[in-house]
Amino acid sequence: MPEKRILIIDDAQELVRAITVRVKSEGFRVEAAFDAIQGLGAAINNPPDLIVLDLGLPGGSGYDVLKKLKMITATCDIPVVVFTASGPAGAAKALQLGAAAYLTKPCESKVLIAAIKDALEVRPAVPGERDMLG
Amino acid sequence: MTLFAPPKAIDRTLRVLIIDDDEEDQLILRDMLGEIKRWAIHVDWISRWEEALAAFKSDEHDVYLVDYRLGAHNGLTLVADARANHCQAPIIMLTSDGDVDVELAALKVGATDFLVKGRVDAPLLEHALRFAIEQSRHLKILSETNERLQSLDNLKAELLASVSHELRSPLATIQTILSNVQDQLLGPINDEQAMSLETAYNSTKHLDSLVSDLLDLSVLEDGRQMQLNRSIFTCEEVIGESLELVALRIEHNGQRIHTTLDAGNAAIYADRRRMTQVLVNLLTNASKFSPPETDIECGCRMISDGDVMLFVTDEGIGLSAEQATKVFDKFHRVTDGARGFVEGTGLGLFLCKQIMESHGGSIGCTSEPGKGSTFFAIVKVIDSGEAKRPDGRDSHA
Repeated sequence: MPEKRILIIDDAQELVRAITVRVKSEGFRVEAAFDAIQGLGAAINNPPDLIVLDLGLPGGSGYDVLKKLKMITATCDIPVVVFTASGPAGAAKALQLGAAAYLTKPCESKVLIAAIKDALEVRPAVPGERDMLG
Repeated sequence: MTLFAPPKAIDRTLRVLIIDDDEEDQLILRDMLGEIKRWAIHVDWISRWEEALAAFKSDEHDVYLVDYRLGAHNGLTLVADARANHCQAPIIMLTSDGDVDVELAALKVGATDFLVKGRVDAPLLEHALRFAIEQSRHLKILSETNERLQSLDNLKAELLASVSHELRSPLATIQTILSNVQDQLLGPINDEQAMSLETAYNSTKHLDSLVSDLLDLSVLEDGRQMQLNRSIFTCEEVIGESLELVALRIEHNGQRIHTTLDAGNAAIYADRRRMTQVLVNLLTNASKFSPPETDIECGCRMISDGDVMLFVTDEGIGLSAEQATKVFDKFHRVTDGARGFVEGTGLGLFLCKQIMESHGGSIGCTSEPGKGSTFFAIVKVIDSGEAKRPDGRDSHA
């Protein structure tokens, strides 16, 4: 079975490097984009299997990126795990826009990996339960 | 403007506007004002309601003398309108009889003073003017100070939110790197290195909880309500999850943990993460303030038909009656006689109280110095047999 590809869109480059090590160790391939425009471009040009998305991005908010991803045919079915430093307040909005899970930074690596694996299995989102992952 | 600059009203010239539809009355007032030598008084007079509204809007006078009756209109609405339009100058209301209710109503809508026409003479009018000008000056200072404090408070809330937010990303980086090394993703480590990494990792977890408290506080300071993401779960579930999070710490501190689940199956409709936060906080405090080889009990029991109590009992240092009244205050920190201040922001229990109150529940404690404490959180329960969400959907979808 080919490795699943994960696109991380986050401007915190050190964090992206650290997450990449962890995600790769679980057998995924990882690509990264460090702003909203680059991230959206990467997702459209070569749709990944899953996107880990920060909300506070240069070049546009993560909510805008999420909205656009869900409007474009090539990307609308890609599960998106929101990973943000903004606290739990934005969870309802992100889940409403179609995020598969909402995690707040920092969270344990095993929780992030569980959310990624869970979202790849395309289980229907249960907002209360997903938010608990944060 | 400098805060304590002298107001224009104590200049030698005083601009007074009489608003009265009775020409004779305004002439009497004008004569009295002429007798006052403290200021060079410039008097203007208008008699119509519309003119009065415009005059208050342009706010060019130092003092306004307003008749209670102005044609078909009432002077009270005029004063209220003037204040709504940010006219800060003193307004003295005049009426033909001394009705206390009218007087109080005038002061309530923003009049500075109230005089009865037939009983006014020049000295009394001078006194009233002096008093009104001085009172108005103080109110202006107060209002300016209040505005400054309000803007500082807003700034503080913004700063708090921004700092907490900015701390989270680097914290996430540190935690992820530490766990990568701990899990030997970057190469093998020895036992001593593993122990050091665990200490570092636990410290970042502690820092994370402090940052979370600050972020919660910033939301509350901003005047916003704590957002609740409610779902239905049992007391046993939330107790189990909370114990899982603190078990290592309690074990490390050498205490024994027991559970009493008299109402373990009771279901509550609440924010699971927040309820866990409350219990973790109570359990962490119990462990922090208890010596090794003591028992900590965590449990739940029904206290009435509709309320369940989640509790944590310890055999720690306890609280005096005075401490117990302050323990849920913002920034209050309990001191341990032997160790002095114990680490923390003093926000944990304050936030627990906010969480419980935002659920419509409550929090409290009973304690005895030297013997231990029981902290409890009370919340409404949903009958698990007929558990439905308030919106009518099934609870366990």
